[in-house]
Amino acid sequence: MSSFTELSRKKSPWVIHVGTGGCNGCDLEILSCLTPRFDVSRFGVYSTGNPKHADVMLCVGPVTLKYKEIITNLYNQMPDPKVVMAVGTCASTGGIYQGCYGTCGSLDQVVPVDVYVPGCNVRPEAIIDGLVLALDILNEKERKILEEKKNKASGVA
Amino acid sequence: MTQIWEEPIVYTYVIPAILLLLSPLIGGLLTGVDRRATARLQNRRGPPIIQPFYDVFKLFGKEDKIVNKTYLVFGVAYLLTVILSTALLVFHYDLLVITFIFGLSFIFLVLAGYSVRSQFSYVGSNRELLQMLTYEPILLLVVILIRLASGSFQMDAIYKVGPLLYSLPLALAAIFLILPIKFRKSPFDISAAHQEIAQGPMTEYSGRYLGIVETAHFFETFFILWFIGLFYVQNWIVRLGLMLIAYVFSIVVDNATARLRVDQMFKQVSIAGLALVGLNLVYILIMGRWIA
Repeated sequence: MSSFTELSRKKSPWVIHVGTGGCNGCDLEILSCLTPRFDVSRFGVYSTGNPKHADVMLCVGPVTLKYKEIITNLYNQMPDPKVVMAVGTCASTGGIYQGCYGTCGSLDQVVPVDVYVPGCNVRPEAIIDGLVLALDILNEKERKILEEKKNKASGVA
Repeated sequence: MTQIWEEPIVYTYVIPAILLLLSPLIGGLLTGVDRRATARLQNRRGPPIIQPFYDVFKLFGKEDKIVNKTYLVFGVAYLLTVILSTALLVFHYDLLVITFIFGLSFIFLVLAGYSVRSQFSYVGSNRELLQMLTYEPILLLVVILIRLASGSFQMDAIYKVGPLLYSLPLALAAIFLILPIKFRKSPFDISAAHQEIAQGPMTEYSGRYLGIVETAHFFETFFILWFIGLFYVQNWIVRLGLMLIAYVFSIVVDNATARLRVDQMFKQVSIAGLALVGLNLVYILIMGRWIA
């Protein structure tokens, strides 16, 4: 039963797409992932605008100071297991906004990032590759959470 | 010499029980076929047909972010009432009761939307209520027409008269008109318009409870198609064909139209639906196809 849940988790990543104040180049590449040429929906990817339904957060752009709070909020609203992908050079390292007064530098300064997809702007193929990596991490994370729960329970008893 | 499916006990209890057990499977597969067909119409590959089951099982394995307990109760009540109405439908109960219980399930979803403090949920529930206000009178009048044509609200009466399709063709057209509302599809996917108001009443659900609501949608899909099948119960091939036509119709309309505003939907569907039902009433009264 649990193996079937793991299979389903791999087969249906629901994605929330967050733009945090970049140049929108990577946003367009994410959108082109949904078009007939790359069609990520064949892997079960479904784009929700709702953090409570999402498994994977695709973050684009350097996190501006105003967006810092919003993105931590969105991260906290996502139910476990969850994966954060930094899409594009700006989200991964800060890119050309590195050291700029209005930004936090990169996404991993704000929320824990699991997958980095570099590129300015990223290719849709790279985003799909990153998603495939993220799916394995989802199951790993869930196993870790379950183990922690077990340890906690046995510790109490 | 009677075949096994003609035995009264098999016919009244065993086959409906099997149907009820299979109905979430059928509903889920139909949802998968719909997603695949939509993708093909847009020249995409599309997800596998069993994708809805992957989604639901994944949701059952996720953490629940619980906001309050009220909306969890309403979510479960929504599932239970939908299952109850499906069960009553396949076990040949009173048609009027079935319609009201099916309407009740929508009320539970609306209450769930109102019980949390999310604006998206509120707007979605308001729209859901207006959609109910649009389709419920038409559905009720169609049920009353079925009563007129068959002589009783009991569903067994439908089997005793001729095919309802011949006496109530315009009522069937009215059902087709409200079909996108019940399936939550374009042009009437107003309550869960995910580009504007997240997922409407379902916004605050997560994890297992979202899985429960999704399962209820599978039952709903089955219920609606089975209801359409009532219009030709004499022949299984025609009956299944009618359901297939209804489903294909809803997929094509979903892909061919854009979303309407809620007031446009209310005006257009109410006028067209009530006109169709009224004309059908005149038709059966003039042709003498009614039983008092």
